[in-house]
Amino acid sequence: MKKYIFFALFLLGLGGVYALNMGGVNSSKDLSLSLDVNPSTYKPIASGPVVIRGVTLLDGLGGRMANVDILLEAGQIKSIGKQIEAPEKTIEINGTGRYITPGLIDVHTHLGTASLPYTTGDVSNWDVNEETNALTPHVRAEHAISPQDPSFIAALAGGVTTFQVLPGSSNLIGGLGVVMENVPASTPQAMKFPDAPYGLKMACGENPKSYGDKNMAPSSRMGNVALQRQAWIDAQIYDEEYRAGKRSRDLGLETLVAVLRGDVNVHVHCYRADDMATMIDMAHEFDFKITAFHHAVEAYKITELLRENDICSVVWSDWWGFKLEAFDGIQENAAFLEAAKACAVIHSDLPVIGQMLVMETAKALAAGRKAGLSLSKAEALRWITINPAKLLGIEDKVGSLEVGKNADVVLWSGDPFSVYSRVDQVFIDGAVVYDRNDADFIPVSDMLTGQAALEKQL
Amino acid sequence: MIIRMFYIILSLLILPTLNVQADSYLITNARLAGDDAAAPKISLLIKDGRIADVGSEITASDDVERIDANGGIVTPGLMNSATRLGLIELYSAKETVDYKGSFHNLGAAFDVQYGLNSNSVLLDVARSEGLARAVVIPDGSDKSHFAGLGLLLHLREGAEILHKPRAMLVVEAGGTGVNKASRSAVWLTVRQALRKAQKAKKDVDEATEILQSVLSGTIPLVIKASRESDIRQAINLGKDFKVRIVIIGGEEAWRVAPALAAQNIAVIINPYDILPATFDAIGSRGENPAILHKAGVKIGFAVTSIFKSHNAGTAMRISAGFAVSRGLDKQAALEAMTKNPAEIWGIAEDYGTLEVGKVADIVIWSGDPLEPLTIAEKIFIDGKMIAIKSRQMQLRDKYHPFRNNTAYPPAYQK
Repeated sequence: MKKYIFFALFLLGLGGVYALNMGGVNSSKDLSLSLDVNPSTYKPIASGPVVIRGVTLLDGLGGRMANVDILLEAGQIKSIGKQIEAPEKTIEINGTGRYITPGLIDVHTHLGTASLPYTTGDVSNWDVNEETNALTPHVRAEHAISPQDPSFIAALAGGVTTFQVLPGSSNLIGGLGVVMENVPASTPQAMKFPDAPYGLKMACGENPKSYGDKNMAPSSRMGNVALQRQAWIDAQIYDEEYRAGKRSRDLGLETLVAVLRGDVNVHVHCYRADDMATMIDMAHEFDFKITAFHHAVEAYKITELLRENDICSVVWSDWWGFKLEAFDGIQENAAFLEAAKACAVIHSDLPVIGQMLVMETAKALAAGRKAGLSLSKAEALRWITINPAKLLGIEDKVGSLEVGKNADVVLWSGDPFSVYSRVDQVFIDGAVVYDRNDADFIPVSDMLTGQAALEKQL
Repeated sequence: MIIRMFYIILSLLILPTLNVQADSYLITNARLAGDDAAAPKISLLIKDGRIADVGSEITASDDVERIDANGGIVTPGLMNSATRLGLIELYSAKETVDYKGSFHNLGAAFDVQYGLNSNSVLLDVARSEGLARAVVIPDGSDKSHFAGLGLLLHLREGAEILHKPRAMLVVEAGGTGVNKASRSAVWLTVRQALRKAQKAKKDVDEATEILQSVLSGTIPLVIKASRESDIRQAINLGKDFKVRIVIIGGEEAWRVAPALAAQNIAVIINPYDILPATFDAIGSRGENPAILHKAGVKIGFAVTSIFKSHNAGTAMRISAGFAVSRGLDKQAALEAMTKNPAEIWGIAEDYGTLEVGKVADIVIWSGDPLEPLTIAEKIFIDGKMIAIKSRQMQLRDKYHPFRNNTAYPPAYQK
């Protein structure tokens, strides 16, 4: 028996997991297991079955069904169809004239880390970047999230049910992001999406090279790339030496090793086509996978390269020109990616966009149509539903309206692509977490609680 | 080569004279905003740069170009009431940033007309999105609570975009303004300056003259303010000095709506300001435009943040729809981008409606002008149909998935 255990451990070691060694500098733990140091305590709110009848359904996969019923039960989507049967005591909702979509997914936010209101003493509530070094793989966004940021609820009122909080783009390697459920809570752990993969934030171009202004490295794109490559070399060496028992734990390097093993997604803030191509070469050189380029203002120039490398482009609809590397931004970016069968995702970055993610998607769709591409609203909706779910590695749970998936759904007063439509209700894991017409189900952040400026005028 | 240059110069000299006779158009088969599909279609005759006729039975001579609106909605070209158009290209390229100056001491006399760049690539984008007019607001320096003199643009093609310089004096109030000074310092500085100007003779100095034109009602005093207390101070200032006030920002203006209406103070709002972005704007809410309008306050729209100038057209247009989804009347939302700014900024004689005699700033829309899936199909500015084009559209065409000549790199794509 003992022999078999040893053999199993030997195999695990070959597989890249560390053999047990209780003494010395070597950790007893598998490095990849050390990732989840702040385990999720999220528990769905208890709810009974709900059926929404006669609704127009956009499934998040590109499909549209008119006049259907959808049953949410035990936190999941139980059935979708015509005149479906519901168990006793099911809450019936009339969906006539209304639309239902999957809960929206925003893969690029700084919610809770750039908590509102912004102040002139920004240090007190800005925790987006650890601006002490351009290489900070050891830090994590989840250690800086204030659940009392009013932006969470604004995004919820816009239909966002899942989002990722990423470190900012000041650093070449900015640290780990985290995926969350948009449920009001008192701790970030209670919002953390169970078992969602972590993502490492990296950055190209103008932002990280501005360390040069502080007489620190890097000060150019050349320095950006050199420092990043050196970091991967250091991670490779660390991996070997750690296994050989020659090194003690190092938070940053073990994060990078986890990336090299494929346990962590890689999100790279990159605007220019040349920057993205250089990063793709770097990923090949060190054998890691880039999950997505974020902002990706020039993705439309290299759609085939992005498709061939299976990299998503996370883009705005129409932001451009605020800096040189954003000068070539065009509104057709998402549509051109779609036309090339590359993965497109629309993101917010700023909380004001988070509350109108569909409007951003609609603008990108309008631009694509104007350019002569044939795209339906249902297809464009994938940019904020199934595509981001796949990108985050949680597409088995969210991102589409399919039987068996989490009951994260948004009920709209009308066509979500119309500016006049409102989010009527939001369900997460089957529970109502937002209801525009019922004050009991409109959450209020602690920041905005008791603020006279929001009270009714006498 | 020299011969070619000669012809180019010659054509530049001749072209303007050939175009003296302004273009004439008859827009047919159009709908007015608010009309349902069954309402009779209307036509508009554009002649000599103005709207010569509007109605369901208009005729025009054969030499007038016909433009079929295909049942599309026509509106006046839009006006954004707070931009930096012509004064900004890239925020990170300081040589293209002219809406503020960190070191000048000009104060009220800072006049942004001298920095205008009619070749800014932002202008084509704005025009192509249906923006015909814009207010340009200075940010001023770090040394004065007076930001300086703003101006009005008329987004004609070519160099003549400046419509009205020195159209307003701008003051930055609130807690995030100049050097984060106490608000009392801001209000006292403005009051002292106005009192001095009242007592001063004419022709003392530039800044005093500008304040005197505010005191005489020639130009409005535009106050950037968000917090209720600052808006109340602005109202009091207007009463005490009998000057015309316009508020820009006004996130908490809904709390003071009746007082603003009573003093006839207009408010320029960003309808997307629904988050408590700063402590000055804790009371931000989506119903702000609707509440102000219902109380009788004249509202105009602008969009701030990243949209300010680079996306001054479409972003504002959809933000108006957003305000409608938060209770604002549809027609009122459209008027906040046309008729109201015309009145607020003193150009209602020429602009703001589709009435006969007005300057022909007209957009034909593919659908509801407040919807994101709608685009501007035909745009007339100052009576001329403008080319819908921009640097962005040319980049689009270079990298278009259906482009020709794919054997060569996009650089060969024209």
